[in-house]
Amino acid sequence: MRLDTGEGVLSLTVPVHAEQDRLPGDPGVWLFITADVFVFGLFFLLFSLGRVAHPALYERSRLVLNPTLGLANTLILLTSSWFMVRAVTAAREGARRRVMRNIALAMAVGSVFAVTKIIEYSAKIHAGITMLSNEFFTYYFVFTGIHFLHYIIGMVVLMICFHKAKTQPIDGNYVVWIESSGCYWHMVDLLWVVLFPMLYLLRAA
Amino acid sequence: MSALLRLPATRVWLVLIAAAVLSWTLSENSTAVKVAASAVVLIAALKVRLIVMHFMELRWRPRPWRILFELWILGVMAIILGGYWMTEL
Repeated sequence: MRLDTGEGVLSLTVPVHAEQDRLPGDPGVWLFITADVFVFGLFFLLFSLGRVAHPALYERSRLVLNPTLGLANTLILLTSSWFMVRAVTAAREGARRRVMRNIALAMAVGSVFAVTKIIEYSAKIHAGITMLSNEFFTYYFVFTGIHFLHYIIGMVVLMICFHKAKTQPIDGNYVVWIESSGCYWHMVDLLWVVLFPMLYLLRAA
Repeated sequence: MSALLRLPATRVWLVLIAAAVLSWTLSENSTAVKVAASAVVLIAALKVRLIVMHFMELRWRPRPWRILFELWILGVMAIILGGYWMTEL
């Protein structure tokens, strides 16, 4: 299929909505993503078992969290992910400027997550709450901390994607790169989508 | 703007944003606490599914991977909801 996108006539090598026999991006990245989400599955199990054993402690601790900041972080990651989807589509169409613009937007929106997270962590620490306060907060700091580490790696990967888009041809290799990076970035998003309700919103009856 | 709204990814994003705001509202304002909390977890499952199928594009990919991620979603929801319903304050 050939398209005139206004940025030159380009060849669409990857049809966006056709049934395909391969995963987007690199298979190794998918193995990593799969292993990672299953490890987080174990984290969710640990938390759930802890909550069954000490419901009052978990509820009291949950009430200290700020769900508005949690919601803000959800909206930030979802929006950043959406820009990344648009960047991947642009890469498949070979539209370099559109790739760069959308990665830049994904990074700009995504960077706010770090700001809200730092505000949140410092508010807790100022209130004298640390990961040693109780079991709930151990899980809270460990799970959101590991998630934050994934987020930082994701931001670095987005920077590399941006740099590659600027300096290298937008070819098949680049498409694999950006698809892999995009899937990793969406994983950061989907893990937060489970962490947010589990930690902030699960009100005890 | 209307061209932007026609894109499937944009519609998925709008549903995800609306679902996130709805979860937060339900949790903050609902009086039927257990029902609201369960709805919040189910909405999270829907959001994860939309991200996996549309943003990560598993919707168009080999069936075994789709099944694996569907099972992960089911497992995680069973863990969280199961724990929640076993607990009484």
